[in-house]
Amino acid sequence: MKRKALTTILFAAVAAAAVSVAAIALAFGGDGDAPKQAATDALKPSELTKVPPGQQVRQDITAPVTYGQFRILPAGSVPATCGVPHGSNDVKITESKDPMALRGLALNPIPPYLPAGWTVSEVHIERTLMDDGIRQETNVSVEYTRPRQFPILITRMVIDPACLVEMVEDEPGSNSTNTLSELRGVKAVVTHQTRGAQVPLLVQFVQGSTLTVVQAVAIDMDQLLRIAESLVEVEK
Amino acid sequence: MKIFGMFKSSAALGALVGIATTLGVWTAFINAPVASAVPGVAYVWRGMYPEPQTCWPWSQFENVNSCWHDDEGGTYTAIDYNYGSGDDDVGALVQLWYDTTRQYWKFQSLAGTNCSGVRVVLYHDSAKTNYAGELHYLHIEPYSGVIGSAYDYWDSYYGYGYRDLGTVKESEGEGCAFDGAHLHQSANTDASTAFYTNWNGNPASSWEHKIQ
Repeated sequence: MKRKALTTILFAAVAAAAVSVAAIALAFGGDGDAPKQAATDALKPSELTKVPPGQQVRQDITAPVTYGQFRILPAGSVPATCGVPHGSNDVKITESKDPMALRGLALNPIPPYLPAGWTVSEVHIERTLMDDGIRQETNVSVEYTRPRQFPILITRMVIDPACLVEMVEDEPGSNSTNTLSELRGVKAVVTHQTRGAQVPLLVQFVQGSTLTVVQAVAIDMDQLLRIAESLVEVEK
Repeated sequence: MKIFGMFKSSAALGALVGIATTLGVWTAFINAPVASAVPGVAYVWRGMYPEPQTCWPWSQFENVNSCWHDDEGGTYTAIDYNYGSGDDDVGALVQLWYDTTRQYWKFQSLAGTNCSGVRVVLYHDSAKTNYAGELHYLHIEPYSGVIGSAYDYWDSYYGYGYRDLGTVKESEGEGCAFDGAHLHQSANTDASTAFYTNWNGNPASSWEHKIQ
């Protein structure tokens, strides 16, 4: 009886261990990635009702719509990229998970305003060799993450001031569109949902030769705009 | 393109069948899922079509396949694919393709980069309201009609879906980190997304990212 009980206990222990291993393997997808955490704190599709102020672009446009330094193209168009003025394709990339990598950057992507609870998870810096032989920051981005939320990514990049930033409208009936808006007097294009949906949210604006892009998913529109607005440089 | 056109290598098809059998999803192959069904596990494979292919060994991370790197802002794990040398890759067909269960995608332009490409956003549902992550295909010339569109392809028998995205570019604009024609394919593997990385497999001949 005792032997049977011991066998049963051993069997149960082995089975439990096997289940644990299987559960861990499942949690890691069997591939070594961090365990997944559903974005349960993100806004649900039904809660995503706010749209930015401004003029919403019709999804069925058949000709480009120009707004400041942006050009919205009809769905299915192939957008052009702007490129760095007087630069080259010799780009050195630095990746870091250390927020200290953000210190002293000329292209500062740190927003003066950020909702509580978000922390730096990744810093990405591109330095391009310019025609004058000097290596210059041309693209800097920082990613903020928070458990059970989708990440927020802020990018600042140098573009040719004469270049129009081309974006493509989603097809008619889609749950994503663009609105021509303003942030502290600076023209901005906001990509957002047309109905309750967790579509990628983008706020883009240009000041001088710098394009700023704030990307997020399923966060409050007012908070998103406030983050972007805090990055607008006010002329003194 | 013919159904089996993408399986130029019988080994690739064999691997696909093996995975499907292992997962016991043959019934899913036979029975087409309802359009609104929640997608199950799926595998995203390399996007560049011609074979043979190699991936560039960045050796950025220890104890994983040396081709993995993360030279994009954010939590993107990436592979650079090459078909040949020099300009051999120029004009090569690039596809989104995946197997096992139907998925729901939207195709958008990339923001925050000087490089050309396509952003493919994955949703958990057919209405495309629940964000599940996204793939990036860089250094390609998108086909007209791709960006701004949505796509729900599903072949109920062969168990995979694909879409032609564009072709590999010969050059990029200034300011794009680019050193010759190739495809850069990545996925956002942040903890809140549905994407996992095949850290130890060879992405040139095995799946690159898993959706779960």
